[in-house]
Amino acid sequence: MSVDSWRWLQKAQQLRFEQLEIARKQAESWRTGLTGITALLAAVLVVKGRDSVSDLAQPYKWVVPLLLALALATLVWATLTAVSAASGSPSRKTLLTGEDLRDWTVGEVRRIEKAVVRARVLTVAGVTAVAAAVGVSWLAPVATPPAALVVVESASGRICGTLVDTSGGNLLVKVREDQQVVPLAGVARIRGVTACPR
Amino acid sequence: MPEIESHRSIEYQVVDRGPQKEGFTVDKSPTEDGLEVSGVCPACHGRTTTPWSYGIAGGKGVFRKKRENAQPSGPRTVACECGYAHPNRPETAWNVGCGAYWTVELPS
Repeated sequence: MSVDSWRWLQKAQQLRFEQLEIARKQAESWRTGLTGITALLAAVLVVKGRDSVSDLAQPYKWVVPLLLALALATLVWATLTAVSAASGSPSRKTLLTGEDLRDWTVGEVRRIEKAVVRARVLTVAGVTAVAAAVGVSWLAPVATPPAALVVVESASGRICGTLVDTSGGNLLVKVREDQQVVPLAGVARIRGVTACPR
Repeated sequence: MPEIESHRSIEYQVVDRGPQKEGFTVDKSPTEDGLEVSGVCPACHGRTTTPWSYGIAGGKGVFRKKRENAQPSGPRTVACECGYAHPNRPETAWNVGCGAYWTVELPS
């Protein structure tokens, strides 16, 4: 239809003056999406397996909080970028001539497009970091509980070491690398300590 | 030698003048990212220049595809923008010209 192509031409010519509005709308919908994704993450984290990281072995005990901090920083940065793209920063004054307004608009649209791309990349990075943190906290090995340190006072003196076992009427205590054997009959006192006394 | 413009003050009429094989040049726009079509309107013989600029068409979608047609080609519609106030041109007309429109081939 011939007049139809005339109408399409009119629409295309009009769109040339709506570029900024369109770009801002794109950024705005990205900002809304980002808020939704972040809220979704918060919901997912509720279902995680482990309550705290204190049970994890080193170095995972530090890896998980680091990943979460990284994720938080990335998502905050992504949100700020999207907000700035959608609403524009308080800008310097532009000379209000047709040409300068046109050039400013072109530059602004380009800036918005770049910001939306950056926000998108940051969001993916933030979500990945959260997933990694949750994955590590689920799958990392638990720390082995610290061995029980005891001080054993007996007829043959006082020794400090890790309580291993009893066997054949004797107490087995690991002192540094050797295992000492103390007859149970001669033991006067056993007490738990956090560190061997000097 | 400067062109002598032989503009005719015809009545405003939205009319399809069909494909114009000659008389129009399509150049890179000096002011923006895109092209510029210039020539003489086949209806009223006024000089007319129309910009074809690259831009975003809509605000939908989160995932952006690569620019769809890297190099579009084929005939494209151009309307007369000679700038003359043709008789009976409605106040609300979007183009300042005689109303005629035609197609020009995009450079390949």
